[in-house]
Amino acid sequence: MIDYLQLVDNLSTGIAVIDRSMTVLFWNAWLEEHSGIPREQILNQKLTEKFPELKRKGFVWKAGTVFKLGNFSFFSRRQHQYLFPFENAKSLGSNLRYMQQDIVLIPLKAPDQTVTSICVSIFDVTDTTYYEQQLMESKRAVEELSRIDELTRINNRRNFMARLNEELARRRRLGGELSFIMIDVDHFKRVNDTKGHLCGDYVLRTLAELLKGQLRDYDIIGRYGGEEFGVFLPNTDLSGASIAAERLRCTVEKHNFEFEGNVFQVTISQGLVDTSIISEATSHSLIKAADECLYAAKQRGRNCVVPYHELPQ
Amino acid sequence: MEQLTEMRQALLEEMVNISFGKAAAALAELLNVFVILNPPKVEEVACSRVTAVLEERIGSDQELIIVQQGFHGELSGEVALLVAAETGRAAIKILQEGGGFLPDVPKEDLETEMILEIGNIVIGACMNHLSELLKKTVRYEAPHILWEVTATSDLSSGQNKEEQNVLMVFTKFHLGDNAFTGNLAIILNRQWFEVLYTALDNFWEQLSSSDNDRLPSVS
Repeated sequence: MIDYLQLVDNLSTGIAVIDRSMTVLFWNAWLEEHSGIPREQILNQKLTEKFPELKRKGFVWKAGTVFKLGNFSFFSRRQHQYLFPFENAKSLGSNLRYMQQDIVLIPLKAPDQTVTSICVSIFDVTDTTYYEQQLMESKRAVEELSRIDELTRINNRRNFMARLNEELARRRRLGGELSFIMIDVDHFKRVNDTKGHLCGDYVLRTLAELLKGQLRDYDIIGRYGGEEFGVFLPNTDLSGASIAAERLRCTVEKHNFEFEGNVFQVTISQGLVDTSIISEATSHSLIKAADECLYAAKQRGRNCVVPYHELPQ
Repeated sequence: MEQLTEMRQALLEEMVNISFGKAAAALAELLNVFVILNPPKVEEVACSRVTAVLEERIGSDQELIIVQQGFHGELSGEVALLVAAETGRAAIKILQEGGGFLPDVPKEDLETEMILEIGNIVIGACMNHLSELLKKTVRYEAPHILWEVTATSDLSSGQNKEEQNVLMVFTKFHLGDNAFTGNLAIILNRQWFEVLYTALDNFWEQLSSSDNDRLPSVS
């Protein structure tokens, strides 16, 4: 002979039974422990009076549908987090104050199929929620790593090229010009050789901040190579981009770089091109053209901007 | 081997029709809206053709939201409610204005909650009456949503990747002047065919012995 009360009281699940008026007809041991409400104090009381927050969470409505339609009804922790405010018993490593719950309302029927009461089953899914949060955090970190250059915190080359190709595709559909600037740090090898690689890293980080600070929100900057940066400016022609490039050059030239007590200057050279100059502009053709301009800037003595139309033909 | 004979098909369609009629009445009372559930179509299809059949019924150019819910017990399978992607607001309006249901959930979760709820009660109402008529007990899993499903998505059940047949019961539904409208598909796994056919045959026997006028016509 099975002692069903003992069986139900040993489940790791909350089991309550309520009638149409929300009166509690059964309250198992799991619920006693987690609610702090002994069975004898809650039997024949209205569940919604002991837990008034159930009303605003839609419990009365859903219980009503179970009585009317005879279906099961569900509360998922994804939308509700919890219905019953039971403290989370596990405090180590968890930022969840309350137990996260999945809840099922199950119709209990008379022989004529009328729903006479509802079994409220409460599942503690706090652990699952916690691990899911950890997984989402890891996923976000991995996604960021795949997009962002770790040193300079701007777009890495992969993401920069993807954004450039997207913008070029948009431009082919909707029109408008796009300008591209290839930027190289002047004498960067000398910085590394004379002041050390940590100083070199500092220069690159600082440069990325300076450049980004001078761009519009929708301009895109990325670290193209070791000491090269790429910038593209949507809906901007060469004359507008020339003004922006000169602003970048001046900002960098005037900035006092300071590392371990040493103050020094850094300059940049820039090659500038826009899509009006190249028919069927692709990322490859833009970069190639900007590279040629950058080379010309180096030849001219560095710390300058060379737009495409100034290249010797 | 048990087969979906013409008689069984006609009988099942009639039983589903009766069940869905009762479900429509119950839903109309609950939601204070006009509810129509079209006469159903029953067919046995290869599992690998489930997606193609749904595309034929619904059209392949629509972006859909699917509320999917498994059921098990004396019969086992799944039910899918397929609605156009922009129906979220309609679900909120019907439940809030018609049913007085507006749960306190984060704003970004409200549309999901409402679509799940309306899917759960439509599916539950239909399946409950059908299982009662078949005298079978079923239990339900929590529903979940497949978002932005298109014709190229693989909708076939993960349990049935082998070439098995499933039974599909398909109908269109309309809630509240076409505010929330879509299609309902019940997919029954092959291992339960015998149980279903036995239930149908028993029902037929009962009808035959009690009231000949109520027998469904079969061409």
